[in-house]
Amino acid sequence: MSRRTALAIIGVVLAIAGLLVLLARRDRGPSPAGRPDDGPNQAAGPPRQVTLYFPGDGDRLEAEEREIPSALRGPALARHVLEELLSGPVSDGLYLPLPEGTTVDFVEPAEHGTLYVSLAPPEGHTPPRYGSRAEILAVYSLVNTLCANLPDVDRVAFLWNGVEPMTFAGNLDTRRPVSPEPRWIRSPG
Amino acid sequence: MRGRFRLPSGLLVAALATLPLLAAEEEPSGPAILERSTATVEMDGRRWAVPYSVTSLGPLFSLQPVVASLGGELSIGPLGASHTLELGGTTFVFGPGSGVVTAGEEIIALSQPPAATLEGLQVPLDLLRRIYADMAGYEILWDGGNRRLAIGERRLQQLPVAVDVVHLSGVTTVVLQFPSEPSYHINRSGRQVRVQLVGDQALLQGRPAQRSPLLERLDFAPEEIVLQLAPGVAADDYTLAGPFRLVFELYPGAETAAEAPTFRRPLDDGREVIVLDPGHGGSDTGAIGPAGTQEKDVTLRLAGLLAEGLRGHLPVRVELTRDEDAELPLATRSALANQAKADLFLSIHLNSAHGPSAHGTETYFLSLEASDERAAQAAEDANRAAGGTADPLTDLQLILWDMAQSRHLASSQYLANLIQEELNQALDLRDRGVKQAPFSVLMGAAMPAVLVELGFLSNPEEEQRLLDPAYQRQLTDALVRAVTRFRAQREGSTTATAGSLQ
Repeated sequence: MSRRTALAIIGVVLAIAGLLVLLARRDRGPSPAGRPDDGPNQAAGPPRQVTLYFPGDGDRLEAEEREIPSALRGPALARHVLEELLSGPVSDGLYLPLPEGTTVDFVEPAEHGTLYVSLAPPEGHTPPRYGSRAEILAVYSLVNTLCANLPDVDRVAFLWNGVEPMTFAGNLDTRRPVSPEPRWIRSPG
Repeated sequence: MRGRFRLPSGLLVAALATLPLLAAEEEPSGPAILERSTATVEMDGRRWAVPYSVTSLGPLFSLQPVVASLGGELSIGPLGASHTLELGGTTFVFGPGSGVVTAGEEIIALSQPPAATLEGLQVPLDLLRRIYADMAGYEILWDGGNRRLAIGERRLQQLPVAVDVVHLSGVTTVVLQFPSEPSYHINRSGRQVRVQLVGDQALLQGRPAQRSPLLERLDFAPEEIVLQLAPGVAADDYTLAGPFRLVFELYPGAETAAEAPTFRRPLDDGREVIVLDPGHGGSDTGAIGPAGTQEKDVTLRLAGLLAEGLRGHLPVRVELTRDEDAELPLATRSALANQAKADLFLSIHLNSAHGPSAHGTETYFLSLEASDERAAQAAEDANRAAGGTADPLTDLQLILWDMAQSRHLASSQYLANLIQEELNQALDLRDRGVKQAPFSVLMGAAMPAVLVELGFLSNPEEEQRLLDPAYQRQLTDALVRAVTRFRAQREGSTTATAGSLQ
């Protein structure tokens, strides 16, 4: 094989790989870059590892690690972590906690340990109506993930489109901030 | 988010009906009195003595001399258990041993329960402030070192008020922002919500730009701000700190929901009452299986079968929160059970999970740690973080409605265990166990109450089984056996039988 042919093959392989990466990122939703409140220095420093908790096929949440820009703090970090969670898992057997297309409406800074999160259902839809198990895992997927990765967050208060709902998705009363519940996480091994 | 807890007016009937029951079940109790003495009240240059006691939670003052000086109409129930004070159009109901007071439509937590003493009822400082500072504009200061209670009229302040109205997704939010927390009370009459300032005056800072179809008018006078709601609109209020904001959320269609819930049949025929709640209904389908089965239809069928089974085997009256495909707010379901003075409340549901493989039954009772303890701790943390200036009561109000169920948690857990045991035994299903979660429908139920998930509609095989009448009968028979064992245990009987179901 000539040097020129080898270079051409490497070029094609790299192009295909690049295309695949781009497609994979598009499938996972909006790119983490360019979020409005990430701040200018989000890329500075080595990436930071965060733990996301996704509903599993059984009755527990399962952990998945991600790397995110290390410079993120406060609401920008919370939004980034939430958007990673809402973009879905990469592992088989794990599920999106909320319907695809659910977005983060806004995040209010933690006050006395409580983070206020407003979610927006997919365009043209109302907030989901879940069965109990799905709803419990959805709520604690969000709460356990946020509290595990944001040191100043002890509990999370939820809104849908800025409005406090009677229930999160039909059953659970989330009118008061929700504290994390490790018992919904599958123990390792 | 902190807020005042206001009972929907329809539920107030049920809540007030519940309080005497709660009081009757429990001996009046409170912290031990460490010291009894006399304090000096100073007011308008006058001084007089008022008996007071000290507990580990602070001072308690004899109420009657204070009422005689500051006003109000106090009436005391025949056994001295119920005290009613009318002041400024608001009725306060409280009594010895109860850490809860109702003020109009609000339920308020006290720092400690009032105590019955030889000098009459003694009440904590926060109750005096709630009555006389909020309603009559007095400032009440306690100097424990000198045993002096100074009462004076608050100096009138002009408070600039910024108003914002936002209408979004069918809900209107009205925000009244004050530079500091004013003394005020909220009166509701028909379609009017009146925010009446006590001892202060509002100074309007511009008019809100946005209009709302739910708000007909917003009127300002120095002493009050009046929201005139559109017909059929309800308003909830809560407060936010830093800066202090009084927020109203207006939403349509609440007049119907706020009507007092009622069963059609007479309520008291001496038999035990079991209220069954078929989950969901109307436009709220609940979970939908892969073959299109709707949870609301199956829960109605299962509740009907269960009612038949219970009536056939036990001397009980069984009521259903709905016996047709009707929409019913979650709070109304437990309110119906309270109104029927039910002995048991069973909410019947079908489960769904994110994946298709989850199967089996689960029984839930209300999560106490997710509600009371942690919420109380959160309130305490927030108060401490705010330098002790935040009013912990506004946070505690959020947890009060849970109290009705929290008194029955042990029984609810026992019933949940029996149900799981019977279901597992009858159906050889995977034991998914008894669990706790803050289910809205269980909050406020003043009796043993559980929510049972009789299978996963998200599992295609289980969906088909749940439509099979023989399988439905197996499920409800298991529930009848569990209820029979629960009643037998409660009656102290060890010879419980469930007739042919055994």
